[in-house]
Amino acid sequence: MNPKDSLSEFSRNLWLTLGMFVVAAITFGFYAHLEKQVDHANELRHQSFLLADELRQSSDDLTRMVRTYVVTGDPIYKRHYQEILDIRDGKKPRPAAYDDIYWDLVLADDQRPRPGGPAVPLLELMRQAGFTEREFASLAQAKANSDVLTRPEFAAMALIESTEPTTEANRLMATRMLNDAAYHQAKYGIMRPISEFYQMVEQRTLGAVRAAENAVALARAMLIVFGLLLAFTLWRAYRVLHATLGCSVDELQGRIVRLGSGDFSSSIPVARGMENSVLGWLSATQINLAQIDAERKQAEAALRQLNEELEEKVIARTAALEQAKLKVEQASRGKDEFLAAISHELKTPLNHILGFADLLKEGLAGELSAEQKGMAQDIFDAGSKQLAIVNSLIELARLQAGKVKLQAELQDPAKMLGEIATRHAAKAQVAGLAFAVEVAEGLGEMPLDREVVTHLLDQLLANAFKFTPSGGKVSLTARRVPHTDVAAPVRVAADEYLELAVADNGPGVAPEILPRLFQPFVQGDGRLARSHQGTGAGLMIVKLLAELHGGGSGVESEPGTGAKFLVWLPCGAAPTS
Amino acid sequence: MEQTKQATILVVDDDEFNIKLLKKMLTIEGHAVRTAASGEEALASVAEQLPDLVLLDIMMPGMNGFEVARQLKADSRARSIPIIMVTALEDRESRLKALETGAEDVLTKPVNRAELQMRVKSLLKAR
Repeated sequence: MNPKDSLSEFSRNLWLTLGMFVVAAITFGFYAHLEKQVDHANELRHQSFLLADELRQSSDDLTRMVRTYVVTGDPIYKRHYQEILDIRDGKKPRPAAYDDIYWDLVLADDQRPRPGGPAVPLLELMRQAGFTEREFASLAQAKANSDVLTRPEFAAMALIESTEPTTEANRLMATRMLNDAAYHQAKYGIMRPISEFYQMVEQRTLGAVRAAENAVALARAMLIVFGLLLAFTLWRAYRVLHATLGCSVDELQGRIVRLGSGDFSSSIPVARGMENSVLGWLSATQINLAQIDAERKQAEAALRQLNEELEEKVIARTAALEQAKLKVEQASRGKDEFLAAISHELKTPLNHILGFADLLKEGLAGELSAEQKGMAQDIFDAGSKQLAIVNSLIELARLQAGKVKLQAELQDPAKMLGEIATRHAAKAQVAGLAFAVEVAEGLGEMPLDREVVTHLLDQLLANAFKFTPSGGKVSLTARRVPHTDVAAPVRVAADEYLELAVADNGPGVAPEILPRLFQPFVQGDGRLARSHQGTGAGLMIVKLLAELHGGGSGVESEPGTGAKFLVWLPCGAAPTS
Repeated sequence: MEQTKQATILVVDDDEFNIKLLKKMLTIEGHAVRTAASGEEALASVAEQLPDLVLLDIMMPGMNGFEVARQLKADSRARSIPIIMVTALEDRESRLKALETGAEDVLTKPVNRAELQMRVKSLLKAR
């Protein structure tokens, strides 16, 4: 069965059950109504007999009262007689439950046993009782006949009252009048229609009661049938519901609650043929959820493992980096030690070469020929160059290793620059260069490390002299500039800087070389490097010295027109190393 | 040219070329040169006979120049002998340290002939 069909069948069964319930309820209502009708018919029948009885009883009571009065002459009986008539004709109130023993009770002590109700003529009561015309006509006839009989009865009473005291003859005559055949005939005239009424009512009311009872029996049977049908449809609805759910509602609820609580692992058994039930779907859902859950857990585990691996990798990589850092530090230390050794081991024999060459060329170890002296001079010059290179390299290494400490003192840069310029003027003259020095007025005092500044300018000027062809021009300028004019990163921030510039009109530096210029072993281009021996360490030393002094360095150049090397040193507080 | 007084100079250096070179530079000037290849040798030489001046290398295996200078300056007999220390270390610290230990002058390698001769002359004159 298709699950959708199964559900629609369930709802169809539910509607059927509901319809059956409504039919059964209506049937029950109808049954109850019929039962009530049976009761009503019985009640009517009873009332009818009571009314007929009252008429017969009143006739008998009248007869009894008049006969007793005639025999006893006691006026109380006459009064009773009159009262019975008055009640029957609606002239006096009718006592409640005015039944056949009422006057027997009154005769005992002349007390009225029950209080009176409204005064209603008996004929009116009969008319209201819903009798058929023939039934009513019978009773009316009986009443009329009873009223006619009162005439001889009143005549009999008048007869015994005609004399005072009553004569026996009159009493006898009156007694005869009340007991003769005519009287009995008149009595019969009253009782016969009542008897006919009894028969008619008996027939009619009994028929109604029977019909009602038959209807009730039919309704009862219908009720039973519909009740059984209701039970059947209920059972069917339950069966269909069970088939739809695949299990009991309680079990289904338990399963759903378990799934809802996040327990996807416990499997849901489904009976054969119940695969398309709600339990079947739930089972499929559980399998899906369990699978998704398992996949999620697997993914989480994989992720966790990845994380762990990553962490391990990070740890391993960090350790490797630490190791590398340690190695670099060791290497750096090794380099320092190597440099210390090299400065001694490299320079010592070089100094010996220079020393002995000097002695030779000066003729201090015996006179030499001019050629021999010349060769000794060559040895001395070559050695000197090599020593300069070694010294540069060692200084560079010491600067890079931070072994050089700054020792700044407040002083006037103009004076210091004058001394430096004087020292270089002779060299410029020898090289055939014009050397101009321009120091701005009023530079004032500032913290400067004489040795660093001197060394720095020595390097720049030596460079300029070296690269400017004979007949060229070299200038040294010094001035204060605001920090906005400083075209290089500086180590110490200040408002103003001392700008030292060494400019020449030599070959200049190609733009592509410029950024690499302040690195060791770069010297313009290869051709220049060959024609002007050197390592290029000089500019690197300048850069490091400028930085050591809290400042920075830069270069401006256009190939063919010359180069200008600049150094900015902070004015103001002494920079620390 | 004024002829200075001939003096006995003790040259202390662990390097034979250095000794040879310094000895030549000083003998040209007419000084008598004694040599020592280590600090211990130098102290022994001074104890044997006081020189007029000591040219003392700093970096030597065993007892270094600083220690030799310290001991000489602590010796009442040798205290007045001028010491010129020779250093390959160009930094200011070693120069300062040399002067602190009592050396009269410091020369930096490579030793310039003229400078050496001038310093020696002036120290001997001051005596």
